[in-house]
Amino acid sequence: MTSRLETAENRGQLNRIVVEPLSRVEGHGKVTLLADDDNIIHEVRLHIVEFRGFERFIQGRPYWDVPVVVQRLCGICPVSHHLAAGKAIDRIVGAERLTPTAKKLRELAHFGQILQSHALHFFHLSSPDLLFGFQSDVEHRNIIGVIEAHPELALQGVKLRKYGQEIIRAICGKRIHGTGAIPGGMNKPLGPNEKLHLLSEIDQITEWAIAAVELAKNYFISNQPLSDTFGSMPTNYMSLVRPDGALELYDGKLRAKKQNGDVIFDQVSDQVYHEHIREEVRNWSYMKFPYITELGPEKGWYRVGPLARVNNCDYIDSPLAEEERQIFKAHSEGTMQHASLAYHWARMIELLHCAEKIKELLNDPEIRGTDLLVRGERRNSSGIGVIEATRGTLFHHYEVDDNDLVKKANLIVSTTNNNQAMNESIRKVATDHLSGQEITEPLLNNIEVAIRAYDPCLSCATHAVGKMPLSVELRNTRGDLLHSLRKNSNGTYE
Amino acid sequence: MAPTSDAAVSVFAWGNESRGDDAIGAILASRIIGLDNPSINVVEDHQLQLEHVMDIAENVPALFIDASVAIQTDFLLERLTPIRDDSISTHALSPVALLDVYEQTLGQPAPDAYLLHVRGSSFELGEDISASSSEAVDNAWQFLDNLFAGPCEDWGPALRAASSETSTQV
Repeated sequence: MTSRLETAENRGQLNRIVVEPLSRVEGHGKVTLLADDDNIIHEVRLHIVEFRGFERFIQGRPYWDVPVVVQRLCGICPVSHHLAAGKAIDRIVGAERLTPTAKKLRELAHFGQILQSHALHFFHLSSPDLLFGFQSDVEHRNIIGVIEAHPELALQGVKLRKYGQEIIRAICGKRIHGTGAIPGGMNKPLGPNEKLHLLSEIDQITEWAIAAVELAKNYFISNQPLSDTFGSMPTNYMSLVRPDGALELYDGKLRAKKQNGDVIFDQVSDQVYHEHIREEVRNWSYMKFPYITELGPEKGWYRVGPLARVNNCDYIDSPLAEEERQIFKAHSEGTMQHASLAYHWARMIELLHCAEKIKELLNDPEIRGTDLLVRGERRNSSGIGVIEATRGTLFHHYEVDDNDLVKKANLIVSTTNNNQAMNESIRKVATDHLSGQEITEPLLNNIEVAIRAYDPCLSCATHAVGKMPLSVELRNTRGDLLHSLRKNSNGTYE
Repeated sequence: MAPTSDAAVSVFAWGNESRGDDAIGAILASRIIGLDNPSINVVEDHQLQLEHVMDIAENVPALFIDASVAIQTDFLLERLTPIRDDSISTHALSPVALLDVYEQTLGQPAPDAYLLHVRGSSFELGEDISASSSEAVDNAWQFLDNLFAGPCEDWGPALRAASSETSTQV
């Protein structure tokens, strides 16, 4: 299943093109292409120079401090890291069976996080491509263009995002560096005013979520065959599901399916993930390539995130989102949907699911309970916490010594899980849209659009729609510059 | 409609407490919160993002606080005007871009806004704040403490006056 474009046979005789986005806090990505003299592409690689000090940063800290400090690994999805670490530490203290209220508070925080993150990505970072087209005027293809052309839509995005942040603040105390999850539970109940305030807005939030699904769905359906084929390829998928096969974001069992929908594994405990997932190192990338052990590195890579979750689950346990899932499945005639641009559609179905579940949880009497903590006994030296983060399955694995200090940590973040898939998507784009062409800004944007569909955590760079400084150079094997194009941060070209 | 507030100033401080001098914003936010003054609304976050337009209150001065590698002095107060810069479509907006999004989204002029730059130099994950930035934080805090010790009606004019002074001499 791995594309032939990963490594060219005659690398030394090809011209090298480097697409290098601006380095940002959370990561730095670049794309390299090797082309022959006719600009036929022979090799495409996405390099993510991810900051790899995470594990070392955590080592030596007391285990109970971990759920708080891991929020500082990433400014984009701190709540996902907080909850994954919290679940891992619950295992270490033997307190993974939370009280109903504590579990529901964590779920509520998680739905709030996913809702706000999906809203930001769709309304402000991807919608310019979808509303105006990949090849529209770059000056217009940004959030200000959306505000000018669709002011209500832009404001809805802001307010959806704000609402998710308010949920996080209500549960964790602060929007960042909160201390909601502690070993064995939660550290504060939900106040009556907070609940009423959140409930007063949820119907409007749900209406906007319904409209967002319509927008994503209509875009996908009305832009075929492009939306079916752009950066797309059949893959395996992995996600958590509930025991009954329902979509699950906070706590479930691992399920992986093949491209034809056949099950690779199902109902696998997250505590033995390492028996089913391995990571391969390749000499050209700083980032590992995970694969499903049963299939091996060549055929075992997979996709995670909204597309994987909606593809993998048997149903969604909220009525409006389930209705939309059925439309989503019907569009691919019940088979697995492999279109990369379908990530946007699946993402909005999840947004709607989050809104529905938030309302359900806020109306649940147990959400206001005060029984927040279970006491366990330190029983394990190892703790594993797995969660469906915004961008996909997130693994936190800690080893703790007799002095209660973390001696080893292993994190597989969502973007790492999608590493091979993102590479394959841009290879498809290169083959379909770049090969044999002169490099132009719209072609560059095609690469960005394919990467952006995954909402990777190098998103600080890849999200800079139309404003990402990019330089592309085509050189021959002697290093002579044959052609270059530079896009400045103000959107102008040289 | 733009949000309103009973506060006399909105403070936005951002950064990561575990990335060396990136903690500057969080440290100063913590000290301001410690004043327990209901006339100050403090918003703290990892990064400035789009939803922060809903934290900017109509006709209430906004004071942004962040670490800066661009200044030679311990701190610098700069008066801001909305600008559409290249951070506009990212996960981390600049204060001037946030003000621009505010005006575009809510359709009205942004309130007076200022950026307190505090000198930082090292931003590695797992580092503590550097000694030099720690001193810069103390000096910046002296400025803020003096500011907030006065009547809240004076904060806006005082920020305006200080921004013109500090931009030339600090």
